[in-house]
Amino acid sequence: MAKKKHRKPKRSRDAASLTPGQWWERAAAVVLCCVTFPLLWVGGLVTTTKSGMAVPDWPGTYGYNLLLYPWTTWLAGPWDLFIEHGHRLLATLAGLLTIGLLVLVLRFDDRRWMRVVAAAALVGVVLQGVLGGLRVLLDERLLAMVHGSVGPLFFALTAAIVVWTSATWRLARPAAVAICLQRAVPLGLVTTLLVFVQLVLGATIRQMPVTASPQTFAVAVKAHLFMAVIVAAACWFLAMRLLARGVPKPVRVFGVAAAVMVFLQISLGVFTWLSKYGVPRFAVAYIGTGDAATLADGWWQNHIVTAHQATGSALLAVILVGTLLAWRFAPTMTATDSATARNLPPTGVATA
Amino acid sequence: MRTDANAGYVVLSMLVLIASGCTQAPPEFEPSLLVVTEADMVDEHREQIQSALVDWFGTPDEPKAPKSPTTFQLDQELLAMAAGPAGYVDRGDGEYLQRGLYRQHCASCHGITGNGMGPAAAMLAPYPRDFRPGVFKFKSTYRAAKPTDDDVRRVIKHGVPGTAMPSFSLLDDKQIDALVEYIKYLAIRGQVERELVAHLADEFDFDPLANTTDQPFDPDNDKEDRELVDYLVAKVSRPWGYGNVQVVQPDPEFVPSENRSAAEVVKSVAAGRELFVSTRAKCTDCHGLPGSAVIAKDYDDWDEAVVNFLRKTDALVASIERREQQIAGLNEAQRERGQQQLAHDKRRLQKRKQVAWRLLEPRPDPPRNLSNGVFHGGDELIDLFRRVHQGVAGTPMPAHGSPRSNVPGSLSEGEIWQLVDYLRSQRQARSL
Repeated sequence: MAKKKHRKPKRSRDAASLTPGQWWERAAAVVLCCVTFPLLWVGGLVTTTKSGMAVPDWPGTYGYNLLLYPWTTWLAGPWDLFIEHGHRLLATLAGLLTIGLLVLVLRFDDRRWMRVVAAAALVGVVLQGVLGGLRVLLDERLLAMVHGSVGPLFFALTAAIVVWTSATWRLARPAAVAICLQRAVPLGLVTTLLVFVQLVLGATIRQMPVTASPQTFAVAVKAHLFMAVIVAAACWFLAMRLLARGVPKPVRVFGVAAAVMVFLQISLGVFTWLSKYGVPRFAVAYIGTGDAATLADGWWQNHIVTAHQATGSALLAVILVGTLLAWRFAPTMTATDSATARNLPPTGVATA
Repeated sequence: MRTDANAGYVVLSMLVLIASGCTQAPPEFEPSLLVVTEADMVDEHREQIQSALVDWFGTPDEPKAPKSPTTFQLDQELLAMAAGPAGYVDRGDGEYLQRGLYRQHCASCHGITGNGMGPAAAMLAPYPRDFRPGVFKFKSTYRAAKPTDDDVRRVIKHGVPGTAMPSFSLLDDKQIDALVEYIKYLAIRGQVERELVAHLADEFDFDPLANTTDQPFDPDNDKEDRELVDYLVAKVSRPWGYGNVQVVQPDPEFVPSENRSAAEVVKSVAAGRELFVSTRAKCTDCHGLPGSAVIAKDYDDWDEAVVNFLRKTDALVASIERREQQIAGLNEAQRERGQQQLAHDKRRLQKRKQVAWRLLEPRPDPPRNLSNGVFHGGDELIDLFRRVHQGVAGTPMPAHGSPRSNVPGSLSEGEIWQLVDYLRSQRQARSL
């Protein structure tokens, strides 16, 4: 007779290892990160649907205090008003959560650098809000572009805070066999920078003023395509390092995520062009064209374009967190390790 | 604590400085560079034309419906709805009016001026339409006539399949009406500008060598100049009021019956195919034989103007090089005059090169690939009938029907319907 297997009820690593105060700190970080992503998505929708000026005043909404604007008008009003006011409400929530996180970190986290990070997050979210407000008051596309580029940075910071407040981070010990992680760190930093540059290029295209010349736009698009190839290659190599033998599971997860997301992002880029401008002439011979024109501002168009922007931000966060974890788990580099990692004989060893 | 406060002030001041430094002037209508440069116009006249256009037509933020002595009049309220930055303006009674529809939906491809030079233009094929010559491809009217409001509305609502022009069917009727009105406004403004440039280049005294004129164009103070602008506005606006009476109406006698038998349709398709490959219709000259590749050899009117401009610029380069070699052999008086002319031509060349750099590279206009079954201007029987009957204005696709009422065309209406049946059969063959 087969014995019944008794499984111990699982407790999360965090719950087991964190003090109640640290648990609340981490919970706040997770909630902030989870609120920031939809905030980025709705912010992307504001750009996609060109709703940025649907509410012409700031910080109020049509003369009302932001929080007191009649919800029935918000929900039943025009679509662009719904998106823009919703973006402001979500941003307010993100701001309040950041304040809460700072309070919890100051109260329960004894790491000095973590307190600085939480304070920096608050400064960041306030500056981002002011940038968004000035973009509306001045109706200025350049500010919109800066606003659109700072958003992903803030999201990446919230994702990093989630990791920094986790038990995985606090209890991590270098994995002696994962020497490749030592070289993953500089590659990860470079990839993070490349992804951010690519996001800025994307924001430039999205926020190109209507007075810009066609030549300027064409250069921006070609640079974005060129960078896509570079970023894809960098992400792929980074993913390979994060998935190497001996790498701890928390790091491997981000290796898989980087590979999947870069593929998803390139696919979304292709569909973004198709949904906005249709099939390019050079591709018509291969894939043909539909019998109907593309639908401007349709549900699919709006969400594919926005998803391309939001996935870019998510990719930035994944690469940054993967790099941070690689650094955390990387063993201390010795001369022998360094040579092994580069496939070179260590100093003083004669070659055959 | 004090240091923190100071840091806060520094950051806030920097933000305000950045924000104030970023503020751009409101967009302006661009002069028609190609037309003005071709006319070799002096700067003073060019500026005076732009100033007159602002007086009559306003600016992209504050457009004015020009007062026309004809019955045709643009709707100021619709223009205001389409113009300006995207958003809403307070009407003063608690109500907000929508504005900026053109900038929100159209300007990124068609440009603020409607010159087809919006930021995305260079990446699209075909290029977005330049409204300023007042020529529209897909319409129900005779080739030389303006489109009806319904024609423009239909293109906006349904888009142009097979191109980057999307369907704006999610906009409501009033929003589309506002865009239709604004497109007409841009077309009329563009045509008036062309007429003014042509008139001043032909009729006014100016010295292109010295870039001076003793005959300023001053409609503010000169009654004749003011009347000239009024006359040109009326001349350009009037045909826009004729759209509905210029619609091509097929003769009911030849319109194919909906109850035709299959055998009748097959017979008509066969006759249409025969016409298609015949030397009378000359369809295969561009569209190729059925199943073969299309032959792109000609430019549409918009690109042809650019091609001609570039050719003339190249000719000017060659002329300057040739005269520079010859000038040493001239006597002193001829040499002085030649050098003056050369200096002027070099300035012209400089201007032409600056303009050429800003133009979109001309591309041959590929005839429709009939085997892929996508018809840009609509695929209803009546759409195809009008396309064959009047061709496509501004492109090498010629008219095969009568150019105006009671004048015979190269094909009879019965033959055009046979061709339409053949074209439709190609589409059906693809979808099978």
